[in-house]
Amino acid sequence: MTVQTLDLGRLKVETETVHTLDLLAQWQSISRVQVIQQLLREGARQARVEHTAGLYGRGEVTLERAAEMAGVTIYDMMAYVRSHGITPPGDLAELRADVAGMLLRLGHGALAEQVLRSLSAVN
Amino acid sequence: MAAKLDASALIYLGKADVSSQFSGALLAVAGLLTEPRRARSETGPSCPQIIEKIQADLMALAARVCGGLFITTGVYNEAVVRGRAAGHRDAERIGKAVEGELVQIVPLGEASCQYLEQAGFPAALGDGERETIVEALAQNCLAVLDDVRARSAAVILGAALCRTETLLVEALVRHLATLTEFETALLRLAQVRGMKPDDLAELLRLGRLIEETRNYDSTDA
Repeated sequence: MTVQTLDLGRLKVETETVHTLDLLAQWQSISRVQVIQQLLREGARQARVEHTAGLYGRGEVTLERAAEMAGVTIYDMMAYVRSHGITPPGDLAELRADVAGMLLRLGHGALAEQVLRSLSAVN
Repeated sequence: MAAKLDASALIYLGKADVSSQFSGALLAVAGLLTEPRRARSETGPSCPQIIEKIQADLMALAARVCGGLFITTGVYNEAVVRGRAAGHRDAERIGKAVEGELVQIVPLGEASCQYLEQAGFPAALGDGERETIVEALAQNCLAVLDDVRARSAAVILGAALCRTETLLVEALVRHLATLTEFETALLRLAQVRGMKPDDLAELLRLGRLIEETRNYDSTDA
């Protein structure tokens, strides 16, 4: 892993947050800088996953693309959206049309018509 | 150009199920009325679809319905190679399905690679989905795509496609699964995917409708 120096100038942080950083450093027996590095790494990764999962939930990208953008495996992204109940937009009309298409292709015209009729009844 | 799939495995599936991603009934019907275009064989699931199939134990059923399951090298790399490296159990299971020849890997040929560059895919698609669409076109087979964005791109480029749920319904229609098996498989898929209750209810309803019609037809005969 390559590292680079991040110049944050005189970054202002709430007193309570500094206290929390010190507590974490104490509990984990590491330095405050190491705690900040760890939180930044995990937080940045999490924010990236959250953002791209949101794009997926709004139908802006596919699940696979969301995983690529987040830099995680497709398994991780699938687990994330499942645990957060994120589903992409979609509608029943397309689902029924898909089933009707398959029925037509298999020569079940009357059944396909029935499926499509239930579609127009709903619409 | 990748070698064509075994011609003996080709099956003619009649009308193309080019349902519209735009979901309007009129567009959908227009898609359904498209003339039969070509013979098709097997299916090419993209990455999430192959993982869902293994998670829901649907791989064997899907292979029976389609006559063969093919994935591109890109899908294999993501679903198996990266998945194995990260210790995902399902990646191991897909790897075993490949080793057992239940799923075959199709490397992209030169022409497909060129098309991949030139097709102008939207940035919303993943690499595996792009490869799946391009290869489905090259091999004249069905692309299994569940995501609306990927389906849109496939329709625009003229690839024949279906979704995982449709494969299950097809198994029921073709007597490859009983109603109970269909419903069990569907519930497993719903659980794995976190399917919307409305979609699940509709698919269960369609399954019952198909079964009733089939029973009525056989009584009538």
